[in-house]
Amino acid sequence: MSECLVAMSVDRESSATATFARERIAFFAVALTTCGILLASAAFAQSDIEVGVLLPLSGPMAAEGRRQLNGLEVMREVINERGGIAGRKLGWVVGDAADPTAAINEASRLIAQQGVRLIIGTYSSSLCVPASDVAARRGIIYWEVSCVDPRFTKRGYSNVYRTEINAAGFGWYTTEFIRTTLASRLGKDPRSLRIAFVSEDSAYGQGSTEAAASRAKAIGFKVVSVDYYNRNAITDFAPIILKLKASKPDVVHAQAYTNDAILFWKQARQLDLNVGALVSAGATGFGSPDFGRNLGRFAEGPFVLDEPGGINMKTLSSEAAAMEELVARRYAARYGGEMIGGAAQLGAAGLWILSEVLRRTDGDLDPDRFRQAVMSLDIPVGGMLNGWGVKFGADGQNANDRVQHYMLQWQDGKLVTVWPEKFAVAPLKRVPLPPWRD
Amino acid sequence: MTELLPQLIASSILLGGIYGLMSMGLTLIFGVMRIVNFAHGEFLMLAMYLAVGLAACGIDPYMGLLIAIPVSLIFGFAVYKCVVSPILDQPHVVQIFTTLGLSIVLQNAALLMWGANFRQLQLPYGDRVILVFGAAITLPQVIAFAAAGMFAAMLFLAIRFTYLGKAIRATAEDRKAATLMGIDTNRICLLTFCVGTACVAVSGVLMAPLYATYPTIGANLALTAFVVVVLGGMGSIGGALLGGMIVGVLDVAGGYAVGTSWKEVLYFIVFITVLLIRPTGLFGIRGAEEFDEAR
Repeated sequence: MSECLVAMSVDRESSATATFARERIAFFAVALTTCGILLASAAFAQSDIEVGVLLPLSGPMAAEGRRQLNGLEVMREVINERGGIAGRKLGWVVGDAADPTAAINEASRLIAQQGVRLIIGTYSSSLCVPASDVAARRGIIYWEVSCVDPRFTKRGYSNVYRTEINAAGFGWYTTEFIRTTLASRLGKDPRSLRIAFVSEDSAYGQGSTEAAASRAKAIGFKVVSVDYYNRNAITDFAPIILKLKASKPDVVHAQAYTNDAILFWKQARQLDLNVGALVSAGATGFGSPDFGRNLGRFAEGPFVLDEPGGINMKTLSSEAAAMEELVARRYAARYGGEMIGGAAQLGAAGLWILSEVLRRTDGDLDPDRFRQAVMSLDIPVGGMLNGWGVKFGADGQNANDRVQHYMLQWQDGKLVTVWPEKFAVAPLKRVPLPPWRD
Repeated sequence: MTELLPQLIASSILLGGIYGLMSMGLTLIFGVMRIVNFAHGEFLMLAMYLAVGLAACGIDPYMGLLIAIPVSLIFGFAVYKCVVSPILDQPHVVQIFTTLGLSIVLQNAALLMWGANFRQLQLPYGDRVILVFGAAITLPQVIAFAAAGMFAAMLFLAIRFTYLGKAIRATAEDRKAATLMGIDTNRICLLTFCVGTACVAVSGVLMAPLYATYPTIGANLALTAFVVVVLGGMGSIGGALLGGMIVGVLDVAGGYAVGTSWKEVLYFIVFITVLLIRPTGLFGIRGAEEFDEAR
């Protein structure tokens, strides 16, 4: 600060000649830069493990991107309250990855200008692949907490990790739920069950739909149709819904982002599409809080594979159960009573696992030491937030069978865990879905 | 298939009406002023938020039109004076970047003010289904369609049979010649922009019960609006309605026949074919398609 004051007092006394004016500008610039550096270094001193956070905070995915950031924030607060990592606080710089191009640019900025050595992100499958390409090429650790594109961990990068299940896991869980539980409730033999797939056409929708469709065929379900659409251009689901009315599936497997999920279900009602059940996977679309909030009582019934909407606490370790309760309470208090949902839970759980890794490296972000610590983690199901366990494969993917997932159902305006039975907090309801016009 | 036919026809026509409605404001601004307003979609989005906001205050959105129209006229006036007027005679690159910039500003302002959440306007009567020859339609769809027809008729008559309409057509055809004939083209442009903005506001309010409102919905719909306008002919109100119908049919019936993922391919094929045969679009005002230096 003293430089600033000196600069100003010198300036007041200086004459107004052109040369002086130039000198004055130069002097100010130097003084301001010095002040800036001092302030910046003060900020660094407060949070000395600095990581980058990359999420869509504007654009069409902003709603869920922000929820994921909220989940990360709550978990960071908890970590820092408990003494941080090896006595150092965890801090971050945030980049807005509204679309794949912005994801690449922001990843480059975080690395080159902010000097981060680890990036957490990125909510969407369309963003995680390009952003992590940038990081991997520069030898920066990429810690993915949300996207499900199976290609993410299949590119031979050694510094790319994902805590969340991949799309193949999504497909496994949704079809397993239908095979073991839903089919019998619908009074169908799995081999005669008719299933139709409807999905938005990004990497997220296609990846999870292809995985589910291929396992559905392997089980013996009758796949009656697979329809894709562009979620940004969809203004009318009549063509798809009319086809479904003609093909009469027992179950519709739908993957959507949120605007299209709302429109699809609204039009399903208007056009009187009656199916036994709707099953979806993921924290967005049918799993977004916006779906229930906007459709009210008409949102009742669809199933969503997601993080738990309430969990049988007896299935968790005592530490995980306490954390589950704390994070949900903090989240609701901090974000105006909103229930913690999938996107936020993924952020919080992913960051908790990261903090476990960093504890083992004493906060060191050296890629080799970090990898060693990641590979040494071995936590059984029920040991972490969301009832997850941890065991990373050599490709950087947390094993799908450790990332326990749950079938939630919209009941009384909330997503509640209904399957697997031992984790469930409520029984299945509205199976088959009652006809709309009753 | 035959039992689905009435529904396919009804859905195509109703969606076409919505496309026509949201394109009318654009065709006026695009056709007459020859400004490619990239912020068109954001105007639409703001109007949808206005409808959602009014509904939250207990005002029925259709009654809310009485508020939305004057508000949009004032908004249009302000945008014209602050943003559009200074770039009216600038090269197209300048106009494109200015309106694109405006669209980004408005989108982010909406994000800051209302957040990124999706808001679906729920009307007590909004989802009540009316069955017509076995086709299920809803009141908001019918109202949007009727409004599209009514606005098209009103604007068509005004442009065709009034002195002001003649001046607008003259300005669209050749702004310099219109000035030489004693037409105050600046005032015509101001008027067109304000009326165009009001049209967008009406369509936004009428679309709010149909689609979830969020900051980027306008950007998603604007591309379709541009296709409709160029297909129908820039500056042509009837063209916007017909263009909307064509895209609506391709969307719904085409989507049903060949798959929804192909619907954009379909209407772009038709779009390109029409432009190859008739560069002015189907009912374009002669001269309106030429981005020349005549101004």
